Amino acid sequence: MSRQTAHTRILWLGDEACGNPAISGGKAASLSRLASRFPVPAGFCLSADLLEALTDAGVVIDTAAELLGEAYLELARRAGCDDPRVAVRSSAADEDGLGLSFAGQYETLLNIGAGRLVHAVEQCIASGRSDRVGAYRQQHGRADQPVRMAVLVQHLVPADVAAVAFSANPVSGDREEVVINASWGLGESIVGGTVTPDTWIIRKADGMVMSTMIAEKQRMTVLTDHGTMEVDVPRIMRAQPALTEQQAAAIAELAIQLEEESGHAVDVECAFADNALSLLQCRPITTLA
Amino acid sequence: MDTATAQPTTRRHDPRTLQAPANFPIRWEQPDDAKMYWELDLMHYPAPMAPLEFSLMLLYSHGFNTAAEQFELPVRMRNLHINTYSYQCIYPIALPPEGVLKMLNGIGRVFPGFTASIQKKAVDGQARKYLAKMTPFVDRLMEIWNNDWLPEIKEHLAFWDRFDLRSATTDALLKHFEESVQRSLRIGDIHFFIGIPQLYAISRYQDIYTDLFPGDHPLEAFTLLQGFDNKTLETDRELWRLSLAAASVPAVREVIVYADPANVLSRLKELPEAGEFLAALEAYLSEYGQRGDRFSTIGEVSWIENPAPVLKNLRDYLINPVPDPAEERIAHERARTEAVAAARARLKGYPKPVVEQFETALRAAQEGTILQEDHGFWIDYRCLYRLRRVVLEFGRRFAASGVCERNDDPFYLTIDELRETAAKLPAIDRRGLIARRREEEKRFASIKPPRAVGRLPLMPPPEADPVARTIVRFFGPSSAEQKDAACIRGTAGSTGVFRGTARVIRNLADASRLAPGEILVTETTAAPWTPLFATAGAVVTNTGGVLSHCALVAREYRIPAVVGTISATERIADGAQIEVDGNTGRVTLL
Repeated sequence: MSRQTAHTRILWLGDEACGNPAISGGKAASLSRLASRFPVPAGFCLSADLLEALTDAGVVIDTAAELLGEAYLELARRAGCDDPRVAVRSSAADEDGLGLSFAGQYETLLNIGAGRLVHAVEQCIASGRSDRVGAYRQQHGRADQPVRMAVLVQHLVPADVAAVAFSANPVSGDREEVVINASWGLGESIVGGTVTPDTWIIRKADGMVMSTMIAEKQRMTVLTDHGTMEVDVPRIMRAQPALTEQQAAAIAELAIQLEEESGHAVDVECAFADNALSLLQCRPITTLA
Repeated sequence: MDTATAQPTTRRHDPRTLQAPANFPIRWEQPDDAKMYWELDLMHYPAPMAPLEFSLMLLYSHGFNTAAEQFELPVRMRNLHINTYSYQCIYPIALPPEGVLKMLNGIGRVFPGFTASIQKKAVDGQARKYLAKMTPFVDRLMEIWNNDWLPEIKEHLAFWDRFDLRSATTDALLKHFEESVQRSLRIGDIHFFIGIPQLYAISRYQDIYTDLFPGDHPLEAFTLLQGFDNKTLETDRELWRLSLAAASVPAVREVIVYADPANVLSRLKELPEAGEFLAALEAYLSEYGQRGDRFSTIGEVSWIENPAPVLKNLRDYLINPVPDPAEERIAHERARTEAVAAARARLKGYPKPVVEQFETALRAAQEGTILQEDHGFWIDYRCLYRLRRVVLEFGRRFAASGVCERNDDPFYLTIDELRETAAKLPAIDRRGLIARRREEEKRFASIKPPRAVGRLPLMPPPEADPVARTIVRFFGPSSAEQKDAACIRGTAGSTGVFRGTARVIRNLADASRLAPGEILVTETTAAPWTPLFATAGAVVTNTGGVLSHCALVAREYRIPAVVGTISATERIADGAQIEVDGNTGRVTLL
């Protein structure tokens, strides 16, 4: 490669260039901009241009595989562990933008080890071309624009508890309170709607817990050797609160700070692993009245 | 058509009232008792109990209610002595009014989901409250046992051992008896402070295991609990060691194997070369022989008084040597370590709170498994044996004064009658009364008592209630559906399949008929029976669930077990060829 520009080299979350959604896609850009001040797991982004250079008909070419391998080693160094598992996610230019959420329309591959990284990236690229995404784009009047899709590779948080927090009540529209949904394991069961999570409502002004509804949490997403699976929560834990009060307070604080940072109400995905909070995603609330 | 005359003129019989058979007439001392549901506790007391034994057992079972109160459990227990048998009633303390229950039952027939969800909500709320109370005990079982309860038990034992029964005046003996009663009440409390959390610990773990590993055979959960040493295994192991001592002296071996069991002891005493063995036997009996046939040592002849069960097992070991139980246990321990490691590996990607909950539950269940045997050794056997000795001392004095005939006659008196007889010795002649009661016991021993009397409850104990579930897993079901004439269904208690000859054994004395490799078929087993597990091919019981003593010990000995069949001893003929499938809980008549 002659000269590496911001478009054609691996970008790390927190790098200035990575914060440009035109290059790294909406999701990666937004996380990158937050990475220096918020607990965003280490990760790198393969921009749309770089992916074009690295692939041939959607297949990663040999030299690119080497590049990915090096980036993975660097990720291991930054994450401070030898064999980190990663999440491989699409990050389309228009995804997670202010207008449309595209939530769940693109592929996310979780718990990928070094050996399956290349394949995961290929799967992620393929998903950008899928009918499902095409239909969504068409439905929202974006069919004419070409898909500019980057791929984000991020250290996987082995979540003990996952939560989705809203910096404004998405149901009532009340902007004075944070609403938190939380459940055991990875966030996929909450996002996918297969579990009824606990609901916490916390008043922004003073952090007062206005209400908690501890749900019968039947299912949870756990890590397997090479991915994830959804399993039953043991009966004895179903009605136990997934979050402690301190954890709920920390999430509320995170949502408030992110709202201040972004200048608008946000929908935050986050997780606790070993009682350390990680920010996984931050999007504007698109449906707020 | 005249419908009016078709109506019966007498009041309709309540379908919930259980009809006692004609040979088992019941006279309810308190009329309200007739409205409760009383089940025969065949697991603990399959045979008639003498009045004093029953009264003294009540001192212990009272502890269930003390513990239930302390843990805020929604149930209490009562026992009734009906026609010499012990019936027990575990009843909810706060049940909705009967009208509400009937309405819920009615709705439930049409909308089963509705009634079930209302019941579940109520049960869950209640369980949350009492589990908050009980869980701190459950999670520190062994620590509390070692630091508090066992030292206290030893102090009580020392109290009895300090007292010289033979040389005491009868007044002093009476005072000693009263203090024994008081201490027994306290020991009964401790028994259930440990017993309830200990069983719940295993049941809770079983739930978590099956929830986390739904594809596994339910009994695989127990592999992770096995191979720990406990007082029952120690008792059996020391007996095995004693068999080595017997084997090393040919003359001793000869007598134990070939002499008439009734004469073994006297024959050994005549042998000059048996001295060392007899000393070892005596040491064994004084340490481990403070136990009788079943769970209660009050009314049962202990091994110290009659070592026949010990000699029978020695004979089995001599005829059919079994591997060193210590080594067996180590192999078992290895299997457990591997199973624990495998479970941990399977949970590697699970949320840490889930893994921690599993680990906590596993550890408590392992401790519970040990304590299920150890509490029996210290409390049910050692303490009750001492209580028995106090009663026998009265018996010795009564017999010497002519107010009764045998040392164990006082068991046929009530506590008050015993007090009165002792206080006025030798003024009150009890021989007639005792003879009548012995006669009554004999009569009822020969009939089959109804499994339950009184009135069926409106609602069965809720499956969703963790303690109700624990109790069912311990006692086993109260009925078992039997469709197939050649197949007896029970509960899978210990895995494996074994074909062989069935021996229907009624009591330990009868157990001498069980040859090594035969299948033990019996009403129930208690710790004193466990040496039999070392040589039996499999075991089948009428009573008990997956947490029963029998199932637990069968797993320790790794022999197949089917428990809670209700009727195996009736349906299996002695000597029949059967297949015991401990994986499915079925016994097939071949």
